[in-house]
Amino acid sequence: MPYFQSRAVQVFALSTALRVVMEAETEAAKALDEAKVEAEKIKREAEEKAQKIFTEAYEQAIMEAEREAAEAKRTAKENAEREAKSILREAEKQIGHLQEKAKKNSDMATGGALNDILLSS
Amino acid sequence: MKLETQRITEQILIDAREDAKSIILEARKSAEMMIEKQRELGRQKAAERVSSILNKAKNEADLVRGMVFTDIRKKAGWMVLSEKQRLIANVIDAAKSRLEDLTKTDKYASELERIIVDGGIALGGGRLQVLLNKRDSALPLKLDAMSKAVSEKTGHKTELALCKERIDASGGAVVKTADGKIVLDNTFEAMLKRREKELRLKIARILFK
Repeated sequence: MPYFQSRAVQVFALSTALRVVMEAETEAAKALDEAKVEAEKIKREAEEKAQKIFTEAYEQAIMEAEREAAEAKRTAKENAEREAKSILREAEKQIGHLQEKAKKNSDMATGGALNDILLSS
Repeated sequence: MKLETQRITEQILIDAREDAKSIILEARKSAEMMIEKQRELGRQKAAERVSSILNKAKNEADLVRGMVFTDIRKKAGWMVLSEKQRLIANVIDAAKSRLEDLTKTDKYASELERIIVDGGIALGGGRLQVLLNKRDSALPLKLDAMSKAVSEKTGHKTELALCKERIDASGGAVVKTADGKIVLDNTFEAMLKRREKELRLKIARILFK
C-alpha cells in the first residue's frame, strides 16, 4: 500500500475511534446527568418526607407519653385502692377486737357507770 | 484499534454507570440520614412536652393516691370510732336500764334518801323542798331523819319538805331552796347528763382495756 493511502486509512480509523469514544462519553455524561436528576428527585422527596417524619415522630412521642401517663395514673389508683382495701380490712379486724373486749368488759363498765351516776348526786 | 476503542468505550460506560449508581446510592443514603435526623429531631422536640406530661401524670397519680388514702383512713377511723361510740352507748343504755331496775328494788328508797341528803348538803341546808316523780312520792321516805342528817353536815337547821309538784324523771330528786332561787337537779337523767362526757371516757377505758 502506498504511503499516503496507508496514512489516510490510519486517519480514518482514528477519526472513527474518536467518534466512537466521544459517543461513549456523551452516553456516559447522559447517564451521569440522569443519575443527578434522580438524586435530586430523591433529595426533594426526602425533604418533603422529612417534615412528615418530624411531625409523626413528635406526635408519636407525645402519644406514647400520654399512654404511659394514663397507665401510670391507672396503676397508681389500682394500687391505692388495693392498699385501701387492706386498711379497711385492718379497721374491721380492729372493730372485731373492740367488740370482743367490750363483750368481756361490758358488765364491769356498766357497773362503773352506774356507781358514777349515783355518786354524782 | 477497533478492539482498543471498544475496550475504551466500554470502560467509559462502565465507569459512568458506576458513578451514576454511586450518585444515586449517595443520594438515597443522604435521604435516609435526613429522615432519621428529622425523626430524632421530632423526638427531641417532643422530649420537653413528654417530660411535662409524665411529671404531671406522676403528680396526679400521687394526688390520687393521697386522696384515696386520706379518704380511706378517714373512713377506717370513722368506722372504728363509730363502733366505739356504739359500744359505749350500749353501756350507757345498760346503765340507764339498771337505774330503772334499781327503782323497783327495796334498796331504792335508801338510795333516794341519800341523793336527797346529798342535794340538801350541796345547797347548804335551810328550808328546802324536794320534788319527786309520781311513783317515788308514794315511798315512805324519812324526811325528818334526812333533815337531821343535812343539819349535822351543814351546821344549819334544815327542814326538808316534799313538794306537791311532780317531776318527769325515771328516778332521783330535785332539791330546791324554799324561795326557789337555787335548784339542784339530782334526777337520774340530770346526773347522767352532767357526767356523760367523763362517763364516756371512763366507760371507754374499762370497755376497751
